[in-house]
This record gives sequence, structure tokens and C-alpha cells, in this order.
Amino acid sequence: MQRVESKMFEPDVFKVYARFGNFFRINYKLGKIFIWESDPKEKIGIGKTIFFEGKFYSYEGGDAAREVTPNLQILKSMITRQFGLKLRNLKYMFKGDYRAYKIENQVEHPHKDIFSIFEGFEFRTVIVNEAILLCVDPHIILRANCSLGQLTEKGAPVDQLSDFSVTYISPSPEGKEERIEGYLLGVVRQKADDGEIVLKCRIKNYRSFAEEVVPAHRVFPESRPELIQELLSQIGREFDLVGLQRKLSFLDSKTSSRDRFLKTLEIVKQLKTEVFPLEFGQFKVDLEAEPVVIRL
Amino acid sequence: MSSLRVMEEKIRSIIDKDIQSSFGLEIERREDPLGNSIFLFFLTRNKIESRAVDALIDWTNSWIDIILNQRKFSRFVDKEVTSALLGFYALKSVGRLRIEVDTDKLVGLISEFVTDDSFFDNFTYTTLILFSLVKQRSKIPMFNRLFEGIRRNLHKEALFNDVKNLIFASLLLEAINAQDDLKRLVRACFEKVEKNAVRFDDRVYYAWVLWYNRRIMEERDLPKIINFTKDALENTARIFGTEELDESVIEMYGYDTEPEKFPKMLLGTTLDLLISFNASRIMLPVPNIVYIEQKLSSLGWTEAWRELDKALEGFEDGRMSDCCNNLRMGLIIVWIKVCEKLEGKPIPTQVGKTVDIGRLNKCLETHGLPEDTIGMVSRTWSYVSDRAHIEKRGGQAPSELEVRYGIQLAFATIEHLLRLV
Amino acid sequence: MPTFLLGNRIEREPNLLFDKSDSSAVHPQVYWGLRTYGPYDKGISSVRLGIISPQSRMDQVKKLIDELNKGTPIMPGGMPKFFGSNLDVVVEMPVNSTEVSSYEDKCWAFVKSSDPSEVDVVLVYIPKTSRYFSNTPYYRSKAILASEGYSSQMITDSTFLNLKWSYLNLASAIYAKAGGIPWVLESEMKNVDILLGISISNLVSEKYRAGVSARYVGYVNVFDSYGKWMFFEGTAKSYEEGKIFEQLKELLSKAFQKFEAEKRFRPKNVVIHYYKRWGKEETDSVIKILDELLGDFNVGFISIDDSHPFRVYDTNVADGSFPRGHYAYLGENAILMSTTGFTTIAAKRMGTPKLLHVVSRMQHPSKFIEMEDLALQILSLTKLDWATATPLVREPVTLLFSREIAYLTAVVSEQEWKSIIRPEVNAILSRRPWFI
Repeated sequence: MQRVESKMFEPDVFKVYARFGNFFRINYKLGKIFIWESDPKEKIGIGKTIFFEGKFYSYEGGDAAREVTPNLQILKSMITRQFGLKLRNLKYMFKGDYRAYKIENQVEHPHKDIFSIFEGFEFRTVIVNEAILLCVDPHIILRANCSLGQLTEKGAPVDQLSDFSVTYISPSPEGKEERIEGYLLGVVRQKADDGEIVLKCRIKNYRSFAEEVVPAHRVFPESRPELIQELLSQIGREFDLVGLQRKLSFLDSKTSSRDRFLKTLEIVKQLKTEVFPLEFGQFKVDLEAEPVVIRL
Repeated sequence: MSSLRVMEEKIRSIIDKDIQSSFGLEIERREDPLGNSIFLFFLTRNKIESRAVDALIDWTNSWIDIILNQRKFSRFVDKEVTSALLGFYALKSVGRLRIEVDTDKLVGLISEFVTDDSFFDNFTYTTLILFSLVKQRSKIPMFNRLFEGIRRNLHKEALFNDVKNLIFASLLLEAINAQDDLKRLVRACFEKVEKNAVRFDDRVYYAWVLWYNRRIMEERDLPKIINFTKDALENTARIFGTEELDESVIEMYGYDTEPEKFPKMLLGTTLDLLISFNASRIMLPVPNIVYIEQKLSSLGWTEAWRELDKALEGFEDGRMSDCCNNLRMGLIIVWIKVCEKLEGKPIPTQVGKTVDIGRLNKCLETHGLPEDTIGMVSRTWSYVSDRAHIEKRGGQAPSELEVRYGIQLAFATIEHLLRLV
Repeated sequence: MPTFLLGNRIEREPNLLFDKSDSSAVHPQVYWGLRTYGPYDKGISSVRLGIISPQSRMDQVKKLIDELNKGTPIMPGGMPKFFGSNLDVVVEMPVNSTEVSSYEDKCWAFVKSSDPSEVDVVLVYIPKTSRYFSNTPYYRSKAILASEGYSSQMITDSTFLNLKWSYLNLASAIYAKAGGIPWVLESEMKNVDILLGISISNLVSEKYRAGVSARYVGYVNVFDSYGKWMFFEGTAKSYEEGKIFEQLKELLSKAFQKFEAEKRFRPKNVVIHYYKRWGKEETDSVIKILDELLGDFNVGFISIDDSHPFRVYDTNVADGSFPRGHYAYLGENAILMSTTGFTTIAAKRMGTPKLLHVVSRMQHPSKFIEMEDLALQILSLTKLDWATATPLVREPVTLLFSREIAYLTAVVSEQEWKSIIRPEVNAILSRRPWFI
């Protein structure tokens, strides 16, 4: 992994101090916060509200709203929400709530039909000593691109597909599609109404514990490197995905912490120019590029 | 043999350093009071004196007062009481106890810690405490009952698994005069030695038990005991020296951040055994042995030293003619090498034949030795050679008296020769 | 102007003790301590092994045992020197194939023909599988053997590929599973009488369970003030979802009863470590139960979590890592602690340290342990995993052991769990860390 020279953005802090956390201070010009009696999304639109300790807060007011003095927790929550929304607007993809990546940061490899691997980052916001800090850490995101149905078409033996976690797309009660996690019990061949033989997956839903039968083309393996690597070998493709992930996670570097730190600074620099300042309502939020200093 | 004396010095130095490093903060002493008492026991037993020992004696006196009189225990009352009692025994034995300890109160104290026929439910502590109080046993009502508890465990594998227990168990049996039990214990140790069932690191402890109790063994067992003890002591160089380490060990587990640390019981036991074993050697009349060994070592004439060492070993073992043969070999090797050094060239020898003594005499003459001195050297050579060749004496081995004299002559001659170079 | 966070460091690496009676037998490093002093508990002279292995591997396994007994360059003196004991093979059972069903059959045959009082540990040679797959020889063998009172140690091809590194870890795990105590902390943890690693509401295996609704089990590992693992207790039955109070009551009652019987005193300062989220219901339940069981007590709830992206770096260190034993405060009761950063006690480290986020969530009725003492406690507890002699272990043993059991509970059936916890098996297994 090439080390990034940090000279371009070397604040003085690196000359004076030696210990740093991957936390970056968020500064903000305080705007107004309103509390709503009920969810105001119908009135003011989506993406402007947070639900905190049983109440709705927004940076926009209205008839059924009243202004309040927000505490730090509410501010943190609002800022985090807006940060996430801005990332999505800038075409960042998400895995879970806190792991973000861009398509253009995909790592090249010869098996993109099976999986994709991206260099992204994980973030959190925390309150420490009355300050809101953004924590950023480089993170490798793995995405399975190939359903179990497709894997069998590529040669994966049906009887070997069992005993691992999967996600599958299922229609929700509201009519939307949702991703559900479950445990694959096995793959079976069933006759469809039209007489065609289709592959179906027997899955134990992790939430309801009910056993469901889902068409294999809607079921995807859990994005774990060991599992994907095993599935690759089942279709005759030997690829050291675990090794690749290790390399991208700096595990094989003799200066792994240093490399990770430099990568963190790089990501923060990009976020500072791309995402910040965040402006919503009367709020203006900015990010410091200097990491917090740890004083022993 | 005097590699053992070197080892004795080394271990004394390690112990001294260990004691001195724990001077200063009271808290450090309290962390290992039992280790301190064990050191004290072995050092006073051997009448070793030094500033470190004095400081240890001072500390132990105040420790006895704190624990046995004032009862200022911490949660580690077991090792504190045991260490105070062992220290009490050690100091009383050498007349250095300055603190009054009321025996009745002592009995009251220790009886609080009896659990299931042992003190603190711990075999080691029980053995140590009973040994420490053996002279007061008549005043301790539970003594015999607890001793029975020890006896019941004497032949269990657990005793041999934790070998340090062997030392104080045997000391206790000896102090109580439980000869049958002691004999059984010593025999059990001997059988393990015979079966080669003693782990390398445990050998010193077994050797200690066998060496100190060799008089109760059969005479035919003595050579084995002596050899085992000597071997065990010589191998302590591997334990207390710098080992060659496999690189992989460092790579995987890192360097030893405390390379000079050794179990105190092992240090004390080894020192005690070395002193006793070495002292048995010094009964032989060879006061110049240290000079000779050091000189031969510095000259790199190790072969000569090996012969002399074997000679003394032979004498100890009662092999008189072997002793003389080794003396003879040692003397001739030194004589040849001295002449080679004086002349700056090798002395020609023929394979299978003794070197020409005349040639060696000539060398000494050329380098200014008086005639009578040269005569003494030759006569010494003849003396030990005659006694080595028992076939010329009708198969009769030389007497101990003759060989003693031969040793004195040979060593004196060798010293004289070595002082020429 | 930079933003500052306060930090601190533990000045001295905690020492371990390698002898019950000899308090000078201390060393900060497991490997060197064992090599110099042997194990803490020197009472086991022989570990009786059963072997279950494919016939083609049986010789290889026996050779491994022989090497462990005789010693290797990495482990000179072998088991006798490092653990004061010998490995003796008492039963051998070859397996016909590496299929799961073959292992299941053989394990059942083993338990039917053996007596757990005559075999200390069963060594099982299995094909290597990912721990994310549940129907594997690893989990099935472990479950069956445990349900009949046997501790087991698994070895795979990887063991033999990395034998140099495996020797001591294997030896230590085997010794511990036979009931031996390899090492403990030299000093007591401050203000701790009893330390509990509790986990409740663990789902037992779906596959092997009849019925529709989910069932949950709980377990606790109990440690004394020297970090010595004392025993394991599990709930005797599985519970429906939400039965938190009942699970905790059963676990804590058993834990304190057994503790008091062994230590002969009632604990006052109770510290609980957990890694899964605990809410008010859990903490309130514990306090109520302790009120009934102990009367006078202090309890600290400490959550330890590493599933976060927080990092700290030290550019004074060559690789940039935040050194081991250093920590940064995220609040009055929360720290980020490094346990695998730069250190002099180990040469080999990999990656960026994943820091432990340690939070003292609550101390009841009032604070009795300072954060500095908790930091030392956590660091000390990273040195007590008897399954390995690796110098650096990231997590404290309380969590490690909890996690190991969590993996197992996810794959054992309700029936197997009940077998493991039943009294006659529990009497043997509760004193051996069979789950590591």
C-alpha cells in the first residue's frame, strides 16, 4: 500500500504533538430547533427531522411546532442525520448506518461478477468534554453481487449450499422490498406452476425464527470474506479474498497504524471539502481537519 | 570440579543481588517474605556472612515482631505467617533472634489457621511451619495430628510433582527423627533416579535429598548418588547460565524481560548443596587447586585439568589406581606443555609410547631449574606412575595414604611447573 | 487550537504468578514464566488423553503427543517442564471419514465406551472449517463430548502446518481443560472479590430444536480476585424471550453459592463484565438479586466493547500504534484502552490495535472502583486466557470466555445444552474450561 504524503496538509499539530485519536471536532453555528407533537414529514418533507427520546425534533418550524433549546445529544443526533443525508446526496453508498463508500473507490479484481470490494470508511459521532466529535476510520466494504441462484448456474454444487448466513429480498407488509437476514438451511429444487424446476432456499428468518422458502435468485450470501472465498472455490475459482482484505486493512504492513492514520487524514480532508460545511436551517456545521490530541 | 566452585560463587552473587535489590521499600519485602526467609534459612545454615545477610537478619527480626507478635497481617496471612516462622527458626538456630516470641501466644496464633489437618490447606506451608516449630512441638497440641497429615501425603505423586516440597519434608522427618519415613522418602527419590524418571529441572532437589541423606542408603548406592549429585550440580550451569535460544522463541514470545530471575527455592537449595558438595572435596589436601585450575584454563590446557579432576574424583570414589593414573597423565601433559612453551616448539612424541622423560628433564635444565628440583619432578612422576601400574604390584591397589601423598606431590609439582610459564 | 483528550498509562506490565506457595515465581510473560517456574498448580502429574482421529492421521497425532512430552526447540523440556505433567494416551478411536456424521457416530461410541473420570481430555483431529458454519465436526464433536462430561481439544491440518506456534498453545489448553491452573495474577485486582462474565439471552440452535418459539440460555464464568477462573455455570433450562430476571437469578444464585463454598467468604465487591448491550432491566434485576443474596455489597457494571471505529495513534512509536497499557478518556467513566499496541513483552504484532471501549456504566450503591483501577484490571485480565501462551491477547478473559461459549450455544441444541448443565456432568465440566 502506498503511503500518502501528508506534507500537503500537515498542520502544526503534528510537529508539536505525537498522540492522536481519529476524532475530529465539529464546529457549528447554532440555529433553531423545534419540537413537533407528531411526525412532521408530511408538512415539512423528509430528511429534516430526528426522533429522539420519544419526540420529534426538526430545524424547521411550523404550526404544530415550538422552538426549544437543544441539548448536545439532540444537536449531535441532528448533525449526524444531516451528515448521513449529505453523503447519500453525494452518491455515497451505505452498508448499515455507519459505513459509507463510493462506487469509484472499488478495488480492482477479476471476480466482480461474484463480489465487489470498496475502500470506504466507518464513522460515528460522539460527545466528549462537551464537544461533538466525528470519528472516522478507513473500512473495507464487501458486497456480494451474485445470488445463490446465479452461483448454482456458475457451477456451485447445490448440496454444498447450506449452513451459513444470507440476506434475501422480501416484500414487506407495506409493499416495499426489504433486506432480511437469515440462516440458510439448504437449497432445494421445486417445480413451479409452469412445470419448470426452480431453485428455492430454505431460510430461518433471524427475526421471526420462522422458516421461509425464498427463490434462490433473491438470496445473497453474507458478505464475509471467508464465505465468499469458499463459494468462489466451489465454482472453481481460487482467489485469496481473505488475503486481499488483510492487505487493504493494513494488516500486512509493518507500519499499519501509521498507514491507517494517514489514510484517515486523507478521508477527512476529502470530507471537509466535499461534505462540509453542512448547512441546514440556520445551522452551519464545519469539520476540523486536525485530529484530537491525546495528552497523557 | 571447581566449575562447581565457580557456580557456587555465581549463585551467591545472584542471591546477594536479589537481596540487595529488595532493600528500600518495605512493600517490596512484604511481597515476597517467604522467599526472603528461604534465603535466610540457607544462608545462615551455611554461616554465610555479608552485609546483605546482615540486612536480611535485621529485616527478619522486625518481620517476626510485626507478624508473630503484633499480628499485622494482610490478606496474604498464609505466606506471612509461614515466612515469619521459618525466619524465627533460622535466626534462633544461629543465635541471631533478637525478638521475644511468647510460645503460648504463638500456639494460639497458628491454631487459627488449621484447616483439615493442615495449615492454610497447603502442604508446603504445613511442612515449613512444622519444621520451623519442631523444637517447640511439645508445646503445640496439634503438632502430631498435622504431622500425620504430612505423613499421609509423603508417598503421593503430588509431593514429587512439586519438588520443592521434598526439601522441607525431608528436613522435617530428620528433625523429628522419623527415620523409617525418611528412609522411604529417600529410597523413593533414589528409585526415580535409577529409572531416569527425574525431570531435568528437578534434579537439584532430588540430589539434595539424596546427598544429605546418603548415610542412610546402602553403600553400593553411594557412587550413583555422588555421580547424580555432581551431574545435577554441573547441569545447573544450564539453568543459571545464558542459554542459546531458538530464534523462533524470540520471534513468537519476545525476549525474556527478566532473564536473571530464578525461583528462590531453587537458588537456596542449589547453593546449599554446592557448598556441602564442594566442601566434601576440599577435605582433600590440595590448597593450590584453585590456582592450578585457573592457570590451566587461561592457558587452554583443559585436557590436563580433566585428568586432574578425574584423579580427585577417583580418590573420592575409592578408585586409587585410577586416581594415580589420572595424576600421572595430568602431570605429564603439563610437563610437556610447559617445555613446549619454554622452547617455543613441540616436543616430539611417539604414538603409544610415553614421552622421553630425559628430554623433558633436559628442557628444565636448559631453562635454569636446579638439579634437585628437576629430580623432585621426575621422582614425583615415577611415584604416581608406579602406583598407577597395579600389574607391577601384583594387582594390589595403592593405599589411600600413599595416594594422598601422591596427590600432594603431583599438585605441588604441577603448580611449580606452571609458575615457570 | 487543538482539541485535547486526557489519557493515562499503566506503568508496569502486570505480573503473573507461577506457583501456589512460592511468591517469587512471578513473571510478566506467560512463556518465560512457564519455562522458568512451571505451572501455578503443580498437582497434575499426568493428563489422560483420548484420541479421536482419522486412521490416516493417528500416527501424526501420537507423534505430536510424543513431542509435547519430550520437548521441542520452542518448548524445551516439553509438558513436564512447562506444566509439570505428562500426556498419557488411554483411549484411541479412529474415525472412518471426515464427514460430520462419522464424527458424530464416533463421539457417541466414545462416550458410551469411556468414563469421564478416566479421561481428562479428548483430542480430536478434525478437518478445518470456518466457525461461521455450524454443522461441522468441530461443533458437533464438542457438543456431544461436552454433553457427556468430556473436555475436548480440537486439532486440524493448520495445527500441523504451524506446529512451532501451536505447541505451547495446545499444551496450555490441554492442561487447563484437564483441570490444571497454568497461571494466575500475582496481585489481587483492587476492590474486587468476585468477577463475573455474564451472558444471557443466548439463542440455542435453531436446527436441532423442536417447536417454533425461540429459546434462550444464559451462562456465567466466575473469576476470583486474582483473575483465576473458578468455574462455569449455565442455566439448567432454556427460557422464553424476555425472561431476564429469571435467567439472572438462576445464574447469580449458583455463582455465589459455589463461590462461598470454595472461598469461605461472602463476596462484597462484585464486578460484572459484559459485551452485549445491557439495559435498565438487566442492571435493576442484578441489583435486586444481589440484595437478596448478599445483603451488603457493591456492584460495578462494566461494558467492554470493540465493535466501534475508535482509534488512537502514537507517532513516537515506529509503527504508529498506541502502546499497550495506554488509554484515553472519552468521559469520566469511559476509556479507550490499547491492549495490543507496542510493548516490550512481545515481538510479533499485526495490524492497528483495536481498542477496547471500556465503560463503567454504573456502580451501586456508590463508586468503589476508580477508572485507573479498572484499566489495570482489564489489562491484567488479557493475560489470563489459558488457551494460549501468545504474549498479546486483545480482550480480557471474561469476554473471551463468554464469546467462546456464545459460539457454542448458537450451535448446540436445547437438548445438548441441558445435558451439559445436568448435575452429574456439571460436576465435572464446571471446573474445566471445556469451551475454550
